[in-house]
Amino acid sequence: MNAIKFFFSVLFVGLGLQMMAQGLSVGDQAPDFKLKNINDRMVSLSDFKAQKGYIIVFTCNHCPYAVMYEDRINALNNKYSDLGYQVIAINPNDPAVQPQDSFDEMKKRAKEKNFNFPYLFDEGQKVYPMYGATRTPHFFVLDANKTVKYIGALDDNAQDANAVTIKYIENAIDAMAKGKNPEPSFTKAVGCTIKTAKK
Amino acid sequence: MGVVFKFLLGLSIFAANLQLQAQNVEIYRNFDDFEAKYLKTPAENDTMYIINFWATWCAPCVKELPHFEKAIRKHRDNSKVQFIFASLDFSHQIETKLKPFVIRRPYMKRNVAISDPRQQIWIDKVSEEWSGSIPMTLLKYKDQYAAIEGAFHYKEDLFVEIEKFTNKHIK
Repeated sequence: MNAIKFFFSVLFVGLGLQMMAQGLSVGDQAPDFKLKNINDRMVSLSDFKAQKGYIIVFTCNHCPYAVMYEDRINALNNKYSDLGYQVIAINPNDPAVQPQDSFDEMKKRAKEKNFNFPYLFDEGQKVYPMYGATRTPHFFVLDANKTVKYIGALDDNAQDANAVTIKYIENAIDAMAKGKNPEPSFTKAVGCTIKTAKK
Repeated sequence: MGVVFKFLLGLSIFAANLQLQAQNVEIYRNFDDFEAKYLKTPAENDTMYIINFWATWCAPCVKELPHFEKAIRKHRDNSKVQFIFASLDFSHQIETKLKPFVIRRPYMKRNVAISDPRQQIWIDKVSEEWSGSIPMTLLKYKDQYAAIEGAFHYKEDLFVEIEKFTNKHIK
């Protein structure tokens, strides 16, 4: 009897751990994806050859926190794309729940803000759970082998770009360039929940 | 006549002030002060705090507020259950957006605005389980906490969480 109880408790603990392990942690291998870009072409990580790394950001049109970072994401791409770090933005929201995040609205916003990086639509919401994104904006920095090196915020002040004291992503990439692991490799930030239909 | 008028005027200003005061927004530029007041309460404090982290710009947050109104009504006779609305509105919108919003909703009696930019530090202090997305509701009794991330779609969902927490930690 006790053996059975033990078996079940081990089983449940196992299930619990598995549920907790959903999404990526620093050190994990990030999965590739194939998502539609605002130019209607499909984009995968493997399309970018000879990269030193990738900066993937789950972001969207409607969230004020995402909006506050639009210019900074543009700047990040301008600074790092020539150095071999590709910025890729992914909108994870269900437009049935948040119409402002539809594919057409993404095209409009990208044009208004002159996005010079891919802005992909997570159609069917398959990619953001694999990465474990929980909010917008949510950044993941990968190295050339797609190993996750950093998860979290771009910097330490969402509201005021001029008052930023720590640029987490820039520091992470500087560390990676020196062959070191970023410190910190994980930060938290306020953001909008990812919009999904009620379960 | 003049005296009576002045008296009445004074009285009405006083009353209006009371009304506003009841819905004042405490602004915390330093999270530690908020923590000291609401999270690290003295051991003898036996009030259950229900702290809703929200913002006027957050659509799902605003959408779930009516459920909180109903929960407040349900617990109105119990002074040991306190609802606190912790706004993450941007500092420059506290006067223009947040205050007018809460004044239109008299049930939002205790309002705080956390405008400490050191989010990566204080999010963990609220709860290590919280990713930082809002809405998030924190149930707190003495040193027991439950962090519920995401919106309540129905008032019953909120009622059930409060009841579960109460049964587990208070009764």
